[in-house]
This record gives sequence, structure tokens and C-alpha cells, in this order.
Amino acid sequence: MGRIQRTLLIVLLVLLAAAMGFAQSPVKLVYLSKWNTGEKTQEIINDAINEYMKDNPNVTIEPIWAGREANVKLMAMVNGGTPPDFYDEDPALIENSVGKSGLMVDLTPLLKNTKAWDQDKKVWDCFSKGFFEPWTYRGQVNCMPIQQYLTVVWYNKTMFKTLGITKTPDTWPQFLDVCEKIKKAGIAPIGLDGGVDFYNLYYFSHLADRITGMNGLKKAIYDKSGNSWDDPGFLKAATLVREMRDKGYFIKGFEGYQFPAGQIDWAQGKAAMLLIHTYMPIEVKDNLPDGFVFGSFPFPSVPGGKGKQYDLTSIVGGVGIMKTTKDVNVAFDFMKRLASKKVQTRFAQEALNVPVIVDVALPDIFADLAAIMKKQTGTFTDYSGGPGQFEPEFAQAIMYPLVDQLMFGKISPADFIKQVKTKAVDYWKKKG
Amino acid sequence: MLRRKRILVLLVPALVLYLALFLFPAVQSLWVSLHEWTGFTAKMKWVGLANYRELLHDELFWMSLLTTLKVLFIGGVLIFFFAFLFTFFLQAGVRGRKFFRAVIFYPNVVAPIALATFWGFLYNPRFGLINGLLRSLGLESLTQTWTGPDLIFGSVLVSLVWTYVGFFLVIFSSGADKIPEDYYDAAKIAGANRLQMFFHVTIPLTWDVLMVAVVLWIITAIKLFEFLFAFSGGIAAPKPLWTNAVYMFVLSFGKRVAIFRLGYGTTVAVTMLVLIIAFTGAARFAMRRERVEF
Repeated sequence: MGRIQRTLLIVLLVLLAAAMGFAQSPVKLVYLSKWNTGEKTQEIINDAINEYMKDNPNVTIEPIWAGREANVKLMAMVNGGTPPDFYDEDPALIENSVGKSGLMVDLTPLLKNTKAWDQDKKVWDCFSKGFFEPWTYRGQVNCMPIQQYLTVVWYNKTMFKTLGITKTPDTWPQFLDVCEKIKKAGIAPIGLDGGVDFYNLYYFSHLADRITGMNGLKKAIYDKSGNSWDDPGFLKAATLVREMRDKGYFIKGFEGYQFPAGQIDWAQGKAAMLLIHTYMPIEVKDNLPDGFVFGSFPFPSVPGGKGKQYDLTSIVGGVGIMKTTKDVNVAFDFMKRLASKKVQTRFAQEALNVPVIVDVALPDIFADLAAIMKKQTGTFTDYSGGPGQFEPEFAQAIMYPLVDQLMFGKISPADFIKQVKTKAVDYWKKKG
Repeated sequence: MLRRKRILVLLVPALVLYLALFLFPAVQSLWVSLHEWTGFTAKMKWVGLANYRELLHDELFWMSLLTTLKVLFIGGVLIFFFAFLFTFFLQAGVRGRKFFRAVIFYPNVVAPIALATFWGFLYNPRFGLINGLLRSLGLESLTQTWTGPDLIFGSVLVSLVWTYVGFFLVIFSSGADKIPEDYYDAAKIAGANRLQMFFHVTIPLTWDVLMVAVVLWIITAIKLFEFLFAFSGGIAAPKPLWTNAVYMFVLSFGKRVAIFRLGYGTTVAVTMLVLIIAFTGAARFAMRRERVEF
């Protein structure tokens, strides 16, 4: 071999090695998650991470299963100069923490321009039209939802059949009739963990929106003048809540039920209905008596109200990418798998989550929910806590304490509205 | 002189650790409390004393301060009363003294979250042991919603007393065990009964231990968090259980409804530090006695 040939061969080998090195340059990403080890959702995300690393040997994704205090861990990581690449949480929590602080990547262009992992369309188009609207903050999408939790009224179909209730209520008067019938049968109509203040808000928030129009309560909360609280719809909602209490429709002693005692009692047939998100079935699945069949119906409409029966409220869980990520494209390349049909089907079938993308079948226990979703007329922000709150300080300082007092019979509906209004005005004055 | 210098040199590592791990964070907390800060940005916004002015008009702060003080004083009185009572009986020559002491101390080796869950089940309005017992005794009318808004504080206080009595019993007993038998013998010869011996021999000779116990309780009570937070199943502690520590957590980190006002939350933390310094100082002043050596 001549000198020139040898030189060329060496150059070629060097170039090849450099090209291989470039193509295979290792990337290490950190995935901070709100899930705990052992939870079904955690297992599915973990499997997706492992599969991705198998398909992309140059990528290492290190998961941190921090549980529901992931935000505390995130704060320590950010302040310690070692922020994660992914943050897996509720969009409102992401916005209130790192979103507002400008630390999250706007996912909009990535969602709109990147092809889905196992579908021949863009990731954005895998979601239903308008899906991202409630999770868009300041024109920016901080996180891609991967689980969805709709709020419906749950009941045991077998129990309803035994009680002779053949049709679920569509309207508030029908709902009250059902409550009365159940109460006469010696069963508590409604189960409730009254120790959780945001669960106590559920009835007022749903009634307020059904009467004043969807997100009417949200608008009132953000009304700095407080005048929105003069809308008689809010007083009516508070009065209807009080009527439910006074008629004894909530399970006896609900004020002292500490989570999850109330929903376990419901599952065991001590109460007939439970207004809660779709994350509940997996929480109670080990406490169900024989013959239990999940049934659900949307929160009833109120005659004369502006909110429709099939306007549903929802919370979601999702994943965002922090701006400090080592490689945003690799990060999104992995993330889009979580919104794939394959992973979403596992979320639905194994973790009993409502899928975030269209055309994924719901598990059998969500048969009623599938029918509800076919008639769905809109998705709206949920108020009642969940993993996030759009105005958490308002909720903690004003809504929760006052709703507790209304629910526990400590103040009248009129006092409730009066105090909410006064405190709301003070709150916004303080905020400037 | 040389010996003093050597002691000073030996104290330096401890002093450095103390300054780095306690004094520096404490001063930094004071600094953070003068800012508006989410905890996620490099820069904090200077607001001066605005956070402290806000505290003055913050209903939740005053409510949580009242709860903290109720835990401190009502809880403290009950815990010390029962700890003294058990110490008295155990010092009175009960057989199996170590066994009883271990049993009473036992809650302290269990995680607060497990204890809170256990008590939650005891108090459950429908299937809880307490209401169940009352029903089985035909006392249905006495059953209560123990964890309802009106009774939850008292119910939790009972469980706190149950938990901490053992801890202070062990501290008192360890002090009492060191008292030479001669003192009791002399008291017996002088005609003192057991109660008189307890008040005139045991307590005066364990006064230093008692003072340490009071300081420990002040710190524990003002910082009390996990047990109260876990009592609601770890989702959201009911408002009657909000101490300053719980409120600080809600403001700074929260859980499912997080506020992320770390600057304001730190202001609450500073008030807790002030409370601890004020109460421990007051307790030490009120309990100062001439040192008894034996």
C-alpha cells in the first residue's frame, strides 16, 4: 500500500470515527416525575423510557420518581444548578412554578411540526381540536398533556338497579329526586371526603358554572371589582348546595371524613353517588364488593342555566421540557412517545386514565364515560384543586375556607357570597 | 491558659459547622423574607418589609399562629402532666418499669404519617374504633364526628399527647434515675409520703432536665408539621390543623394547590424562629434556679 493510499485510509478512518462519534454523541436527560414508584402510570412511563433508550443507545434518560412533592424537588434542583430536562406535573402547577419564571420551552412549534411516533400525522393533530386551549398560558404551551381526568358523577349500576332507578338524572330537579329516592332507601345519596377542602368546592363550582355559564366562576374569581359576585346565579348555586346539606344528602359525618375514607365508603355501598375525577376507579378498585359495576353521568344541567350538561371540566397531567435541557429535539423525540397510541392505550387500559389523544379505546369500566365523551360539547378548566389551581392563593385564602363553612352549615348562602365578594376585592387590591 | 486555648481550638470545627448549617441559613432566611420570590428564579424582587406588613392583615397567618399556640400551651400542659404522672408511678416501684416505659415510648419510633393514619381510622365517623366502641356499649348518642371541623383539633391534640408523653417520660425518668437512693431514704425517715418525695426530691433534683424538656417541647410544638399534614391523608390538612409550619409549607411549596410564594413563606418561617427564641428565652428565665448538685 502506497504512502498516499495509507494516508487516505487513515483520513477516512478518522472521518468515519468522527462521524460515528457525532452521530452517537451521548445525551443524558433527567426526567423529574410526580409519580411514585409502583404506581401503574409510573410503570408505563418507565417502560417508555426504557424502550426509548433501547432504540436510541446514545440517549440515557434518568427518571426521578419524586411523588406528589415533585415541585419541592424541582425547586431544590433548579436552585442547586441541576434542573431536570423534563418536568412531569399538572400544567397549572408547571405554569405557577417554572412556567411564569420563563424556564419552560414553548412546545407549540414542536407539537405542530413534529410527526407523531406511531401515527402518520403531526403530534398536535393527534389531540382533539382545541384540546390545548385550557392549558395555554401567556400564549405558550408549557407541557404536553399525557393523562386526562374528567369530572363526572359516579354510581354503582347494580345499586341503582336494585333501587329501581332506571335513568340517570339529566337536570338538577331530577338529580334531587334521585337523591330523595336513595335517601328513603336508607342509603346516603352522596359520598364525600369533607376533610379535603377542594372536594367540598365541587358542588358549588359545578352548580355555579351550570347556572352562570362554563368558567363563569373563573371569570368572577378574576374580577377585580368583585361585581361579578352580584350575579344571582352564584347565590342560587350556594343556596342549592346548602339545600343539599340541609336535606341530608351528603353522607352522615362527611365533615370528618379524611381522604380516602369517603370514597371507600362510596365504593362499599354506604353512599350512592360520588362527584369526582376519572382517577377515582383505580384508587378504589381493591375495595369493590362483588357485583359492583361502574356507572357515570355528567353533572346535571340547571334549568335556565347557561352551562350545558355535556360541558365537561377536566384536569390533566403532562410533561414539559425545561429550557436548560441538553437537547430539546431529543427530549421531544422521547416525549412524543408518551402521546403515542401505544402508550396512551396502556394508560387507558392499565392505569385507567382517559386518553388525551383521539381514537384510543377506553377500558370497559369507562363504558358510560365513552358515551358521555361522544356527546361532549366542551372541555373547561376544573376549579376544585386537583393537582393544580389557576389562582391557588385565592383558593387557599378565600374559596376553600368559605366553601367549607357553607358546606358545614356555619354560614348562610347570602353570607357566603357577601364574604367571597369582600375578600376577593381585598385580595385583588393587595395584588395590585 | 494553654488548656483554654486548646479547648478553643477544639471548639472551632463545631463552631464552623454551627455557623454554616444554622446561623448562615437563618440570616439568609431573613434576607429572603424581604423579597418576593417564587423560589425558581435566580433573582428575587426586593419588597422590604412588605411581607411583614402583609402578615399583620393575613387571617390565615393569625389563625395558624393561634393553632400553634394552642398546641404549644394546651398540648404542653397535657403532655407534661401525663409524663409527670407516669414518671411518678414508675418511680414508685412498679414492677416491669422498663417494659411500661418502652410501651409508652413506642409511638415515638413509628413514622408520624403512620401514626396519623392510625388515628384517622380510630376517629372515622362510621367504622372508627371509638364510635364503634361507644355503639357496642349502647352509647350511640355519644358518638361524634371526631374529625369534623368542631372537634378535629381536640381529637388531634389527644393523639399528639399520646405520641409525645412517652418521649418526655423517658427524659424525666432518665433524670430521676440518677438521683441517689439516699435522698429518698432520708425523706422517708423524715416521714414524707411518695407524693411529697416526688415534689420535694424528684422534681427539684431533675429541674435541669425539666428545663431541657420544656425547651425541646417549645421547639417541637412550633415546628410541628408532618403529623398534622398527614392527618388528611396527605392531600390537604383541614384548616383547623394549620399551624405556622403547615401554613409556611402551603405558601412556599404546597402540594396539590401550591402557591409558590417562597419569600412570603419564609416570612412565616422567620416568625417561627422568633417565637422559638422568645418562648425558650422566657422559659429559661422563668425556670432559672440555683443549680443543685448531687
